[in-house]
Amino acid sequence: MWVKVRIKLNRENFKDYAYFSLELNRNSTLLDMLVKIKEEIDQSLAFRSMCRAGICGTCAVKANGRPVLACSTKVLVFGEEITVEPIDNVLVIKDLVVDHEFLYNKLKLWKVWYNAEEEDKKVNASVLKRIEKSHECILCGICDSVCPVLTASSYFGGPTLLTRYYKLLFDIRNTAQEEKVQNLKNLNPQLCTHCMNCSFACPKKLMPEALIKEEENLLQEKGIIKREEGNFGFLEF
Amino acid sequence: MRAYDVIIVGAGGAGLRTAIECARDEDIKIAVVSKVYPTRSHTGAAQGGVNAALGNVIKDDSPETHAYDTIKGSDFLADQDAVFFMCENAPEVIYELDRWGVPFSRLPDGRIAQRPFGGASFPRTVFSADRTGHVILHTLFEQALSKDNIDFYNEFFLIDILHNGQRVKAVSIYDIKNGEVITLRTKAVVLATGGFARIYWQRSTNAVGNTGDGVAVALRNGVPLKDIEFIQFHPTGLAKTGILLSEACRGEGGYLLNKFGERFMSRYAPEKMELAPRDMVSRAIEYEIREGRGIGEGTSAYVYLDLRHLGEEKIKERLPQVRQLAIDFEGVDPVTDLVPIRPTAHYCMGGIHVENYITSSTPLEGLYAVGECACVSVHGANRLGGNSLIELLVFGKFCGIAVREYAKYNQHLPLTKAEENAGREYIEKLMKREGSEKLAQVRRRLGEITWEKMGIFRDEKSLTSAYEELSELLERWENIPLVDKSKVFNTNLIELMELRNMIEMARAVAFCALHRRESRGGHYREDYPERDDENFLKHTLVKQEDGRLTIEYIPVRITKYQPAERKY
Ligand SMILES: Cc1cc2nc3c(=O)[nH]c(=O)nc-3n(C[C@H](O)[C@H](O)[C@H](O)COP(=O)(O)OP(=O)(O)OC[C@H]3O[C@@H](n4cnc5c(N)ncnc54)[C@H](O)[C@@H]3O)c2cc1C
Ligand code: FES
Repeated sequence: MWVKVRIKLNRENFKDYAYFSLELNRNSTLLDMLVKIKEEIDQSLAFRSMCRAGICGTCAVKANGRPVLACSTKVLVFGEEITVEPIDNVLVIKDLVVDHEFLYNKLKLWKVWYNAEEEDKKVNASVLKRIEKSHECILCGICDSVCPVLTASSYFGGPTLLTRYYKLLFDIRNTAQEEKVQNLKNLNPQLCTHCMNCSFACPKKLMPEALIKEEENLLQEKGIIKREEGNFGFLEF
Repeated sequence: MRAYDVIIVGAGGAGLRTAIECARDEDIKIAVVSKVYPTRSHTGAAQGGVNAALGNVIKDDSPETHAYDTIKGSDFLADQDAVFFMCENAPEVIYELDRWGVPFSRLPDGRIAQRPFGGASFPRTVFSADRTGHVILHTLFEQALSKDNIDFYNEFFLIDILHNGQRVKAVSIYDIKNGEVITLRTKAVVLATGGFARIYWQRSTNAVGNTGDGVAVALRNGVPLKDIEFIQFHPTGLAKTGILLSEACRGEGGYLLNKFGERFMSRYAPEKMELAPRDMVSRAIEYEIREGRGIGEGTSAYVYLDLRHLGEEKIKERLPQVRQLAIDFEGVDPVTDLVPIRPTAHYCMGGIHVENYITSSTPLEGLYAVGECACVSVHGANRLGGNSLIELLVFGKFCGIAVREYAKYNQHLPLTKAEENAGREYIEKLMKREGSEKLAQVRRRLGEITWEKMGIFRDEKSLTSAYEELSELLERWENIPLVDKSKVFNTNLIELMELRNMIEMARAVAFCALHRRESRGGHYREDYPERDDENFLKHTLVKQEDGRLTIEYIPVRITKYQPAERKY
């Protein structure tokens, strides 16, 4: 099939859409399409890819307005005219390549890791089931890119961070569980408006919003925040 | 100029595990350099699991049985003392990961579960559903992040290591984000840059970045590579894309069927059937296809993987990612459909010659190698599924201890201006490169040569022709223009450098394969179909000097098990 592609380029001397027209087979993914353009038409085109199997989280782009993993999304679903752009709300480095440093900086800043003792603790299957999604995050940055709260308020931890933080709160193997619960307050999960953008967009179907809701509940149960704090009048969308 | 005590190139499982161990001494300053963000490394794509004889499912399992299975699987080419070292230390590194938070799948009583895997006598493979590599990589990354004495150089590309012929002194790296070249001085360098199975460009399970950069850099610097002719072809790559379906498919009880619906493995490995080791299963599939019992013909032919009898529940619980991959990339649902599969280049048994398995040191002082880029050798001629991840963890840990101690008692070496500038000059030269070849065409040709002439079946003629044509390809590479002249995120330049590394590696593989006139494990010579212990029970070492390749052989360390026929 023939497709008409419009790609938003972002280079020192060119910041505009470029137009391509090419033939693809029906099984092609967006990544196959970008590779073909790079191989055959514009070798300067910049995008990231690595595993091409939906697990490394490096290839997020926006196609016809929807943020997706390029390697795991068929061109077919977009029809014959496709606009490809970098994902939103992050610094663009070149073309479809956006800054990822901020994702990693956040993990460091908020100490998103287990503190371990030198002794083994048994976890049971139900705890593992509960924290599974938190472990499955691939750091693609899509959920943060669609979060309206994150763009409006720097006090909000955002879905990526809160999703990954979740496991530290509920897994007894983390010896700093209590400390993490206290720090959770500073990530303000209660600012979430439950618009569900993140849960709809997450390519791994991790439902960040549901995890954030549980985190908010945890803070309330522990009496760390009060229930009313959830209503943020100033954040009207 | 910035200086570190230790520089680790590569932030996959091997690099990160080494870094964590090294960083236990807070006075040691460490840099971890990676061309992709650490969590994008290929380790994250490992699905099936990691081997350690915990004996949780069947008590009788032991490190010794693990060692025996590994040695037999290696077609007796593994160094047995190194294998024992790995298997004995395996349980502890798994418990460490458990403490750091890896969500390993559990038995009903809360202990870590284990599943059967190809070539193993007991269910020994520890797993986290079928995203084992992902959770291990992210957990290791988080632990590494917790260390304040590690600096990350993310999206920096290794150009070269600098040394004085005896000892390393610095690395030269290219900043992909802004096009600058920097030189970092160091007392020790650990290469953990992963494998080069992407040399089979059109049919590989590997991430596009597995281009063997670190191995090629070692080769260019006169460091010997060991046993690189042994490439593993994984039996269950998706037919259209080569994307891997984990060995867990067979481990959980999947069948392989030909076009008549026969479980053809009964012809090749009547006892182990689908759970025979990878090299045997891959060849069996290719024989079926050759004999006309596959579906379709030529390069697009395939056989079927049948998971339907496992039932929806088990597939969803144990193989969720496998199911998703089959749906996304092949358009079939394993719950209801047969899945078209074909062998695909998967893993490099060989790599940078490690001399001492306890430290992972190489013949060049201060240079260490761990992970898939290294050859210890614990995999010999054929690696068992689940043994790579355990290799990263065990040898990464002990390498970390060794470099940390080495760095304590050694000083930086002086660096000349010329050495400092060499990397920048190389990049400047490439930036000006003009020519008439096309990068994509040369790369495609590379993939054709490797697959057709040095793939699952090889012989004198095909290998000679591969070697010659790859030498020509290297000349054609010199004539590929750099189209993108920008400094910011120039992936055209990166691909050009990666292509050179791949061609050089492919040529060295062809050279070693040509000289090994026998069949063993992953290396199958149609003109020498038998294993020949008398002449070839030895490791190949290949070296490059002034562009010329030379070969020598060193003995295999056989400490316990005498070579026997490998039957399954
Ligand atoms: C699809 C798949 C599934 C697998 N499943 C299993 C399994 O179930 N069990 C098992 O035991 N094994 C499995 N393996 C094998 C195993 O995953 C790999 O062998 C292992 O992860 C390699 O780890 P590594 O740390 O050595 O290298 P990698 O994880 O590949 O990391 C290499 C690192 O080096 C860096 N690097 C490379 N070149 C450069 C450069 N020029 N400059 C700077 N940095 C560079 C990269 O950025 C990366 O960080 C699987 C392999 C594949 C392909
Ligand atoms: S390339 Fe890895 S997720 Fe798309």
